Amino acid sequence: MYKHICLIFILSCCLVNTAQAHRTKVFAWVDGTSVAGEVYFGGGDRAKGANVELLVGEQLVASTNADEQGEFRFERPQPGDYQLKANAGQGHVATFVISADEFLDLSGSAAGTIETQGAEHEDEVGFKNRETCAVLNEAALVKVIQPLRNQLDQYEANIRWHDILGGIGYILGLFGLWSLMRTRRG
Amino acid sequence: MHIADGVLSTPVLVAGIAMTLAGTILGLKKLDDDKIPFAAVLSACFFVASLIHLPLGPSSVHLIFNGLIGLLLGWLAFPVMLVALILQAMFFGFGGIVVLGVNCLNIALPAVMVGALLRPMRHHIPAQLLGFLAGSGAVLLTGIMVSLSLYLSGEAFSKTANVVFWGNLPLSLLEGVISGFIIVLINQVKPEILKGVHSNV
Repeated sequence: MYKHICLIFILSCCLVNTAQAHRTKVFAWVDGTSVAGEVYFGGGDRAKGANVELLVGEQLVASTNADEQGEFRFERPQPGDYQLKANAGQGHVATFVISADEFLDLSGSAAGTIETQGAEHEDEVGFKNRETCAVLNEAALVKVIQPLRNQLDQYEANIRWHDILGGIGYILGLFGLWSLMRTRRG
Repeated sequence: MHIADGVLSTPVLVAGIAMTLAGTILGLKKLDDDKIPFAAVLSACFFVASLIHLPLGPSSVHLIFNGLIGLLLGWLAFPVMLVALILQAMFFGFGGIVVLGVNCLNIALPAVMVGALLRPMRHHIPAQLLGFLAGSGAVLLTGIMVSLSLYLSGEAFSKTANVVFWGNLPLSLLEGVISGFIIVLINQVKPEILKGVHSNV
């Protein structure tokens, strides 16, 4: 009886926790003019206070610590290709890449405000307006897609039953193979 | 416990791979035919134990069961854990591929040490205490080895060691209690497992 209770306990432990893992992940996106992101462990637990570094090439640009929710933010970095490196301690390191084209192209509208002071042609102003509209549209789109990207990233980090069962199968199979080799040799 | 790729320096990585290789060869030499099914089951047990994961402090911990495996299998801990760690790295992304050697060493060497220390005492102390000492001792040793590998790769030792030690203390107590229960169970259900382990010392 005692044996069975223990077995049930161990099995239920496995059932409850299959969605949780021990993999560190960092995920980031361009939020307006800043880079925002979060550090978490597979399964969704947040890495509180993890150190996050913003790098270009191997050069450190900025460094910050994640808050209680595992979230962080770099204000106003120059648009460009960045690597993010999160360190949650004890060798739990994760990296993420943000490419230059994720940044909104604000250069057109920013330059426009200065240029329009000189020659104020009607159609040129109209063109600038259209460009600003496009930038705003893009920003709105990014905002809508963001939760989806988040969810996808976390889904990928989850552990699924078939992985676990497959792993156990591999282990038993490998030892079986070893056993087979031994008996052939013997 | 699973260190990711890109954290450790090359000499530490190479040393880890070399020592794990040596341990694995030694373990495979001691793997008798009648031990193979038992080793396979414990390997699967270790593989699954890492999925039982508890949020603790700023980090998160999971059970390891390396004390238990060291107590029951001795040097066989190396091949048993290497197989499970390779699969964990491949399937779940726990730790990196290049650091497999260091990760395996950090987990298997404490298992071997605890096993060698406690196995001679197994008839003199109660099973519950035996399991507790094996479980908690191996986790603490693993914590020390993890901080040591980080230190040798250039991280400030006192800071990481502090974090690792205090982070692992509750885990080591928990693992000790659970290992204690498992040893008691094994002692009642299949006492010959505990009696027979001396052939692998």
